[in-house]
Amino acid sequence: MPRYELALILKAMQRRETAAALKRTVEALMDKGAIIRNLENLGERALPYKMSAHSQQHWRGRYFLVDFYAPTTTVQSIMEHLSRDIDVIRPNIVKHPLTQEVKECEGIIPVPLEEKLYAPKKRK
Amino acid sequence: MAALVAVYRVLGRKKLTHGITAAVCLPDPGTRTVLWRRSCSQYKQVTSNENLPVAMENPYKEPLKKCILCGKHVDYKNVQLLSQFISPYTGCIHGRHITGLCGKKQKEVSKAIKRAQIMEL
Repeated sequence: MPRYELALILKAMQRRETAAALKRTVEALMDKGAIIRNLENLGERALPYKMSAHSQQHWRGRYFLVDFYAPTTTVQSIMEHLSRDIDVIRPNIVKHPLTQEVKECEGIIPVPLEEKLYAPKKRK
Repeated sequence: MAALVAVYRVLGRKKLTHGITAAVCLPDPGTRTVLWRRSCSQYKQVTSNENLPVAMENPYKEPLKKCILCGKHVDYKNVQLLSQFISPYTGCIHGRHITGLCGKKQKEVSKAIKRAQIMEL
């Protein structure tokens, strides 16, 4: 199964409520058939700009990161479900960045300057 | 024989073999020229075995210059790293002539910046 990452921004709430909201989202994910691998808390931060979601405006938010395995078909349903949740300010699912291979970068290949000297004139 | 010697002097040492092989046609045919030809061919082979350069990779090749992010994974989550590549005043992504990254890394960084901007990180 391909790995996905969910960058979740929750409303700034009391600890108990955030815990409840997280639990809810995690259970929803598992119901859709996602296998959760790891949950990280990136802390509470001031949002970069004022956001309005579900007829409410937010300035601060709590950032969470969930990486999970999910079948490709359920991703859209997960997104819909999360957008309906009022505690969630903004959900974003992306492919897990660590699964992409790091291609070996050999270095800056020196461009022969002679080619640049006799480059054909660009025609507008 | 005299003609051969003259030819040798004229052409110089490097072209010895060529001179002799060329000059073989001119003087009297027969056994002598045949002998000369054989010795010439042997002489040529010896030089080609020992003195000609052997084909190999340049041993003094230096490793190519690497950019600062070469080989390191770029993530959209480390906002601090990505914020170094944008202008503090306008928020524009710096071009390649300013950042000095390789083509691939520059593209990766710009994509990660766009992603982080959309995801409000």
